[in-house]
Amino acid sequence: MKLLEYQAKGLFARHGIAVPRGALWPDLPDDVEAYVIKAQIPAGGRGKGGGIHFADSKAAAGIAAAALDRVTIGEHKVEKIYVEQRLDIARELYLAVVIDRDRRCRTIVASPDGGVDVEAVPAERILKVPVDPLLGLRPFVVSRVVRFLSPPPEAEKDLARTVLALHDLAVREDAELAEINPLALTFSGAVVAADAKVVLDGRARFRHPEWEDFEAPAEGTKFERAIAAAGGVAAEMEPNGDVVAVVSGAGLMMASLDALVDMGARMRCVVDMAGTPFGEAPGLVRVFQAVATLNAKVTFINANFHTALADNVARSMANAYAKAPLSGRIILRLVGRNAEEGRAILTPLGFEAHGDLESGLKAVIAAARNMD
Amino acid sequence: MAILVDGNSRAIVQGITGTVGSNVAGLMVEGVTTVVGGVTPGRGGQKVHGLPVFNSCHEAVAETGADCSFMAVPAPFALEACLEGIDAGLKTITIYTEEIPIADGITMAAYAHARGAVVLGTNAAGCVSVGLTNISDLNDRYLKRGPVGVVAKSGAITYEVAESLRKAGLGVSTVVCLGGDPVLATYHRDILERFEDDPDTELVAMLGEIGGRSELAAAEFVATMKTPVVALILGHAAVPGKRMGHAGALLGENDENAASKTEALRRAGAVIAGNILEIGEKARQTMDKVVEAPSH
Repeated sequence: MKLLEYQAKGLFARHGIAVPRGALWPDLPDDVEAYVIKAQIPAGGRGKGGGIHFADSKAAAGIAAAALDRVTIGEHKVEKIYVEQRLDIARELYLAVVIDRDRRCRTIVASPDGGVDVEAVPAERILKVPVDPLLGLRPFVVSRVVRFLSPPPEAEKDLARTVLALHDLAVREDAELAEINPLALTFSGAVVAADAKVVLDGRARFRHPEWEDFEAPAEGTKFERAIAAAGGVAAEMEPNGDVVAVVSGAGLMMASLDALVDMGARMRCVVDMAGTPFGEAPGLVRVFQAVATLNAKVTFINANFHTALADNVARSMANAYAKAPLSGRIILRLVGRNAEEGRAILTPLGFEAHGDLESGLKAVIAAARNMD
Repeated sequence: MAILVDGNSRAIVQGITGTVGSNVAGLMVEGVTTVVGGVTPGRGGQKVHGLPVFNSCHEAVAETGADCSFMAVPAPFALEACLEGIDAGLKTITIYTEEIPIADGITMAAYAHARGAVVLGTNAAGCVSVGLTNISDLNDRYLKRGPVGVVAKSGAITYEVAESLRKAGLGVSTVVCLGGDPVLATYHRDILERFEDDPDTELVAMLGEIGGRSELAAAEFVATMKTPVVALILGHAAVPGKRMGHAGALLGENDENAASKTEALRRAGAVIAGNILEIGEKARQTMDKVVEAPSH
């Protein structure tokens, strides 16, 4: 769940990280001499896209903000505009706390070259320090980060506090990413987060009732969102593809996709039903409803159940099909406990049933090419 | 012998009074697994499928001598349940629960490694040593015992691997499903190391997927293995930026894609299967070659 800059800065302030004085337009910050006007969109590259402007008076700031309202930057429409104090920046640093999935820990990423895309910074100018999850962030690790960033002596303490606070924020707020780029060192010796990027782990929602304040920006296409609401995961592929594959489990989904593409199929989309929603009629009905909107030439349903009962799943599928009939051919590959009964339930409805994976895949290709 | 769980394992189900837990406990009772009870806090003294329910893992271990578990407690309680299980002395734990926060998965993994326990997951189907012990959601009635060790992230895909092996006349020693989440307590290499030392495993079928570096780290070990490896990386037809079902299956930066991982495994000496249907035949051919090879 990606937060907008102003939301992320709200979290920063709560965790003791200094941020510029700011307000959400039409409010404007008080006691400010120079202003930055920033479009709030969930994407980078705002500067180049025309989403950041400067102003020297409150009146000019108001005009600049109004000019940004409802403008489209990239693929995002500007709904919110954040106006803040323009900083007197002496140096720009980079600081982030990320998840390192391979080391299984959080890692602090720091560079003295902030303000640019971190991907463009040479490796020797980036420090990555893993944080032992059982030890937490120890002072020696903080010192190492501060030494690498080599701030002027008067900023060392504040920089160390910022490193600690950002890590603390990541842990307490369940952030997958907490990034400050640039982290500004001002001419007056202050350490201030000029920008803020925070991605929250949506799976931790159960322990964050306060997250209801965050409107998570919708991710994915309309179809992908509909499948997500039904408990599955969808990936749309070729807009003019012929084949929709609905599969029980992510690994089998990828294996089916790879094989079909290798055999020459043009894929419209794939859906991973992860097993559970297959057993629950409401989820399946919503999946069929979403798939029906695609009007695919061929729908391939590939399910392999060794624990759930395949005949029960077939009954749920028959019910879903009655509520949301699919227009094209349906190739069904169903195996597992009571699979024969399951196939017998669906065959009269026009599902072309297979038990073997290879014969199911070949049937999909033949149907897509009108070869049979 | 087998890896992770064997004929001496004593299993419990954490979250045994829940729908999934009770279901799996029922299948365990019907099957070969020595299942000795379950845990649900506040439900101690009850029975599920005739198995005693305990209030804590410590009680369950003290009363039954349990050493492994299948865990299906709701995500908000999963972290404490896992840590308690490790603290109580469980050696192998399947974390079946989905949607566990990443931070909790990290803590589970760190504590498991510190205490020498093996945690599979989060969001893992688990492991089964065929004919001996099953702490997974795989139905062991469909698995035939044999010389091939199977390691994959996904659960359902291992059914297809077992089916392909069966068609080639081969059975399975242990199936290990690592899980679909971005951070996993156990990666491919950890399992390959155990298969390499397992006298019951003569060949390993390894399935990987896009995202993360588990398969790349595994390739370094494959290069040193005596046991032959047949490998397949899933997701070569995936589209960038789209999650392919698993939260962890996302085409990331640099070399975390199917082509790079396949190439790393090929260079390490693994036999590469072109697709899921080829696994059995490749395994058969590889084993025949090993038998034919002159001994030193």
